[in-house]
Amino acid sequence: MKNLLRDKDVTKYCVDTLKKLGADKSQVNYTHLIKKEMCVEGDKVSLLRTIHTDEVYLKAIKNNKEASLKINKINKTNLEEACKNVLALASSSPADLHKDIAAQDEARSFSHGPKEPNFDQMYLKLMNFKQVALRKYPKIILRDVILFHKYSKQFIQNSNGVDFEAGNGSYEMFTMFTAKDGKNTSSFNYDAITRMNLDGDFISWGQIDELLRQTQLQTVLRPVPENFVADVILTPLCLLDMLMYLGNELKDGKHITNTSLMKGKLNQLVLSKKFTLKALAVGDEFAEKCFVTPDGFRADNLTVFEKGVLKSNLLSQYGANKTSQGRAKNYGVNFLVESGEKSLGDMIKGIKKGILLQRFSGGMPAANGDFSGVAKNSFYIDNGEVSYPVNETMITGNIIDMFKNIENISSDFVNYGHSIMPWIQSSGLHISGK
Amino acid sequence: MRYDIQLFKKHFELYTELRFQENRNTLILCTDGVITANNVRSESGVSARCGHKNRFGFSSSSCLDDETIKKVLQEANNNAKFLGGKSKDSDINYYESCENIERLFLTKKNRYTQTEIIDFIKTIDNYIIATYPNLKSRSIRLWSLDMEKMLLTSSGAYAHTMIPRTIMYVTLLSESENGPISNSQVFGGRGQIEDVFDDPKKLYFKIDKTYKELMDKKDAVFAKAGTCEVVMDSDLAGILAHEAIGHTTEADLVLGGSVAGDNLNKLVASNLVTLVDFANHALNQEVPIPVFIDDEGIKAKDAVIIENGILKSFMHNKESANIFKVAPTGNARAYEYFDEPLIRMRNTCIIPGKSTLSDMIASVEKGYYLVKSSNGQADSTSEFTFGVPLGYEIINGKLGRAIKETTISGVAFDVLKTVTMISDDLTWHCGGMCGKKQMIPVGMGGPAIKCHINIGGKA
Repeated sequence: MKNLLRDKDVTKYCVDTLKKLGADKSQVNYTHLIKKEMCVEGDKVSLLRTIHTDEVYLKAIKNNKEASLKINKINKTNLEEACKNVLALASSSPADLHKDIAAQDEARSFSHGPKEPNFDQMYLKLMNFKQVALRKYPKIILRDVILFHKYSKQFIQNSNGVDFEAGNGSYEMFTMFTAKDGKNTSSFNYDAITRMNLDGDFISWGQIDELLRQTQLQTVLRPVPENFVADVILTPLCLLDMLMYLGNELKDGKHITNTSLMKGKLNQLVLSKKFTLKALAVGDEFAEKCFVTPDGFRADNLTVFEKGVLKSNLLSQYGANKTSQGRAKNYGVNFLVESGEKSLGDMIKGIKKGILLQRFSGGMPAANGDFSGVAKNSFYIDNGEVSYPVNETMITGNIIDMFKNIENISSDFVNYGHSIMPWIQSSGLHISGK
Repeated sequence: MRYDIQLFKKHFELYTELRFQENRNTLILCTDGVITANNVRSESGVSARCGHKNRFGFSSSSCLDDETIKKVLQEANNNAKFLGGKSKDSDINYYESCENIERLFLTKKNRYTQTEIIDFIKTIDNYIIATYPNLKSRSIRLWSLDMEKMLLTSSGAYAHTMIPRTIMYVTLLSESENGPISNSQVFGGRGQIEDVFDDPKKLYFKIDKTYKELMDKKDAVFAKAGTCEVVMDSDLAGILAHEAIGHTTEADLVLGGSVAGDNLNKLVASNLVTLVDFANHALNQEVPIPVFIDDEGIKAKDAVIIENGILKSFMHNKESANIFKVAPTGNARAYEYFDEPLIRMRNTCIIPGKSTLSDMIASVEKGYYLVKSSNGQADSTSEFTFGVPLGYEIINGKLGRAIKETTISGVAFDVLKTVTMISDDLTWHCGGMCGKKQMIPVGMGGPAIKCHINIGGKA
């Protein structure tokens, strides 16, 4: 194609063009992604899919008026038009003194993970997983098994002289399954794991083996016998979902609207002393690293809560400026919840009546943190033992209270590649059946 | 986007679908009077999907030059052959068709400038703050999506469509004794912004109602947990049709073990219930997300899922239609140019009945009137959940206090058997995005429904 630019030439061309067109400040991110994916449907690898995408993000500020624009074309003609358009958009914005771009930093190039996939190995591993899983758990139906390799190359430049390059390559495996026993059907269950390589059998990745085992036990379900207030053990996957709700209280949206439940709580004890949460953007334990924040700062590891004390919100530069608080070292990636001392087995033994909550299906929490939803793929705990799988069982609580009322955190944990999560036991949740 | 797709037919080798697509998005966020986001995103590209011996190869690129399009076709061929080479199956029936359609829902009005769009939003914001100065916070989010597709298949099916959707979300926040409370209202539907939003004053009535509901929530009480009789407003009936029933009857989910697979031609609901996934017209009106030809080149037709309480059929693409030995229904849809078509709902709707909403509420001795819904989820068992951010008690046939935000759930094939009244009106909602590997805009519709359902709460 005529005028096609490559790699850093894209960002450099846009920053230069925006300057020529009169932008006071500008930031440009260009990402080139190649993703190669195999999908199993039924008894076969049914689809091999390759995608090549380009994405150029332009941000321009003129007279304190900001706008941003995304296109997926990287030739000079389209880029120049996009630069003109983003400035026209900015002129339509009201002035906001809090809009800014990242300060100058040392130019750096980062790289992590494999650039190319091994197709034959992907195919063989997928077929092997399907055979092993169905042989071990014959009542399971593997609805989806998706394995892909992706490699992204990102270039970030701005008019303050920021100049970063970051490459990330990884494999991701997603599987969703049900169990069927005659006419009895289980709920669907799933797991998603990211890895830097294809080592090990897929069935041993994440919690897949255990979830297949549990799902096969879940074709006959019943509600809990009564309504009660009890302890709930959140499994690692469920904890990850709950952290999303908690994380929302720390991000720009709720702080800017002055509705965050964590507003003004920095360095205060707000959650259980047992709870420590880190966001390890460049942690070696993770399959992917986040080297640069979306707004152009070099990212670093971060402690969000330390022994229940809020140590950092997850505010971007704009959120920080707007609310007169500090910008976070990253905005909430690669979460790690520190493990505790008790084994999962001992935690279960200590509960007279409760729920082992594998998956929570419910509405978003209300503005005050209240939530309610259904326990999915979950078990009733009776007298210290995992009893029977439940359905039509509601759990009602408050997101902040749930993290305040942590009784135990397991020594066991699961490394999903994108997060590292233990099991958490929290008290005071309302359980109700039909 | 380019429009000369026919030039590339000579490069087709296997069964092929070639698609050019552009999604144009505008997103503006106004928080407490400040424009905190003013974004435009345009993504266009080409994709090809080829079939070989019951396997598919797919490739896509954001470049739309001749050489790249040929490379994409070649790579899709190679991918299909890589998998096909390992297959002992024969080719499936591709249901060859040569349907042609061109439908572009372009506004005939002059396009707004970005400044005019922002002014429109600011006018609404000014109305809110002038009328309700005691709010703790307010936000207005405008999202418009123009989805333009051009499709050509090896059998000669051709489609050029542009389906636009413009949605505005208004959220009001206040304080109660128990912390912050919020209430939201969705405006908009099919069409470019000029056709959907022509006068800010037309929104004020519903904004006033949203504020009143917010004030009701200040004194909200917990619902009593457990199974109870409810009247679900039409807003919830649409999501019930989509989440509770719709997903379980997508043929790929049936193959994945959905409970619907064992219930074809059986009674799964009260005989008052008829549920249809409409393609492009319903009850003499054009639906929110019209589909004329799907992304496999199949002419879209209505899928009658439940008729008078009997489960009648599933939604299909070409692959599942081969397995079930039926005709595909035109439900294969892709969201972005780089997405492969999947079985997706289009406009899922429960057909109106004969009752009135007021009679339905009056007939409940003790229960709840559930007014608004938030996110929902489906399951292979047909057990569904969705959030209820607004509802009221019903006591002796009259509305009482608001209830705190909650969640409702049930096993759809059980809940639908408890339906005793369906209202005679119909409301379509076109703000929905359905997630299933990819996102996709969907229409959801329905009347009010009286039934028994499980509700969460602490009371």
